[in-house]
Amino acid sequence: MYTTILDQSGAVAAAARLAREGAIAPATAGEDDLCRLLPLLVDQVTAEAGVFEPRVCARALREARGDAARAVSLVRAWAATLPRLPECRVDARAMRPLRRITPAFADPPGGQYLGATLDYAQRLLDLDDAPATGPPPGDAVPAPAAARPLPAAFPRALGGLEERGLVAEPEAIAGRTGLRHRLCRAETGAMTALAYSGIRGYGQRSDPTLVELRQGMLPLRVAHPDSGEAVHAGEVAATLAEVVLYRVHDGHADPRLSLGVGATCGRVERRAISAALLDANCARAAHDASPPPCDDREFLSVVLDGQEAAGFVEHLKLPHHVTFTSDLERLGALGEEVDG
Amino acid sequence: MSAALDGLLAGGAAGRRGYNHAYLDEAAKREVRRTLLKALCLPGHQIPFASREMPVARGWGSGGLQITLATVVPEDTVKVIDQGDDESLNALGIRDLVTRTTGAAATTETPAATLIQTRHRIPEDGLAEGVVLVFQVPIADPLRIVDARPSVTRRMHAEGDYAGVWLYLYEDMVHHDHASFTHSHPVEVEGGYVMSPSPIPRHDVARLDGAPHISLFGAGREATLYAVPPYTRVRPLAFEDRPFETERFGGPCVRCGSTGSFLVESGGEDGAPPRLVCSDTDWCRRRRERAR
Repeated sequence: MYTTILDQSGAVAAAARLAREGAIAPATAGEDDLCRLLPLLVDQVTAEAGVFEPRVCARALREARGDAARAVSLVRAWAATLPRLPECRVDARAMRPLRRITPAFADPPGGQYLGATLDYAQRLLDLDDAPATGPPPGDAVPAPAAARPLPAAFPRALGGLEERGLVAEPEAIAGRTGLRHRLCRAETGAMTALAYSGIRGYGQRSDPTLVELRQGMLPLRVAHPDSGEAVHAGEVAATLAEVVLYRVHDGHADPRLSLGVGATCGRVERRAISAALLDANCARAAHDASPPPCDDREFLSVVLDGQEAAGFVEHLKLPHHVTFTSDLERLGALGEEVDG
Repeated sequence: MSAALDGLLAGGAAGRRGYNHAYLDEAAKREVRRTLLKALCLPGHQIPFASREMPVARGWGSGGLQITLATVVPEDTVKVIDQGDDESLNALGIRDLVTRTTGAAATTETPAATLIQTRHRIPEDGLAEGVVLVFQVPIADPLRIVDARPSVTRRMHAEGDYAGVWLYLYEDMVHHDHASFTHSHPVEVEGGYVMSPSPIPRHDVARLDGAPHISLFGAGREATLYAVPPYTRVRPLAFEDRPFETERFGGPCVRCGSTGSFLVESGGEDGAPPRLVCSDTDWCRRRRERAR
């Protein structure tokens, strides 16, 4: 029975068994297979969990039956049990680039490199059965004649604008770093929706331009726990976005652009772009009295964590008959007053 | 371009996978055409339509694509540009889809084109009578800046209540000394509806007035179409004493020497200042060929 809180009859285990009924054996869908089959879904979990451990995230997705929110919950709970190494700072300039586009400039210094993307491939569902060999149909684009090798580093596309004094100096805004951390782990759909609400017209009039989007591997160097020497600990897949907003800062005219920066683990690019938009919105509206949700740092910090949101929304599935009895009792009393 | 498209075209124009000539089914195309006729009869008025999911993402030209596919005939010669450039990846994908699902010819040369789908530019050549220019539109409603709610702005359009947008312009003049619209400057069409010209630069906004071609505007994400028929008055909103101004550039195109076209920055390698080049790459190329 639903109200069986003490689970005396083994109902919880039986329900979980039912939920896993028909699942194929874990060995048939191994972690590496899942990482290759659903790389962006795995990336989304690494990003929302804030734990770049793709194989663990793939395992979590499998155990959560594809529910990304539950997978994130599993990964975060697991990561919370691990010892913390000293914090390390990552220099974005050290990224080993795999893709770089600059929508703001046709021909920027350093050039543009598409890398791996389906962005420009037509969205036609392939109804043919996949061939026994060869790449999956969505990727069946002819190999480029000679892909240019990627350079080891790119100049920032924003650099030229900064040299010309067109970008507003970053203001010391309380909580901006904290917001960026929250955006980094924010729930993908929620963050996209809030960023969309801004450019859809529910924020201040904004005219954002994505100056640069970069995807690649960030090298991690950490201090060795014994010797204290900096050692290379591996690489993290990451995406970085820089957005500028035209025109108004802090509610008054300024001939310079507002900069927003977004970053995410993994390769779900709309995460980085959405984060950059929201960061720029909040920077511009920092001194506004009652900003709309998409410009409101505090609001965004509160609502964008997927675990907090999903947890509280889904807690409504828990028994509420005690509190509801109180509601009904009050309704009855009110009714009597009205009738009386 | 894509193997998926090869697959669905392999069965001939009828499409063995159930995809139709010009991708959309006949009823869908008819509905878009009816909406377009209504739009042409009510210049600048936004008409809702049943925007379909297209094989490009919402916001990537799905509205323009639906107009193009509903309008194109096999005799058409189709040109697709993004920011003025025929070779932009998004433009290539759309041109490929249109020509290969319809049998229409493709071109990059503006004078040869009878149907042009564009993102954010009007080709520098004056377009002739009979040419159809299809704009991709991200934000259909010019009153979005006044109120984000469609229920409110629809009423404003119906009542001809454009005080809000005029006030917006006035406040721009007071606070910033010029209109803050850099592109998408709202226009009044034939003395009636106020319309967004789509995010074309002011250089192009000025060129809509009295143009001989047909302008069709498609906003797929917002499920809205609108149109400007040939030889229609299109006036950018401006005050008598503060006239509308188009972009000014610091020099001619470094490639073709043009001083009258819309220029964009290019290059700037190794600390060198970026150079100005024509955004309409086909126009620039033909000018250089003629000069030789």
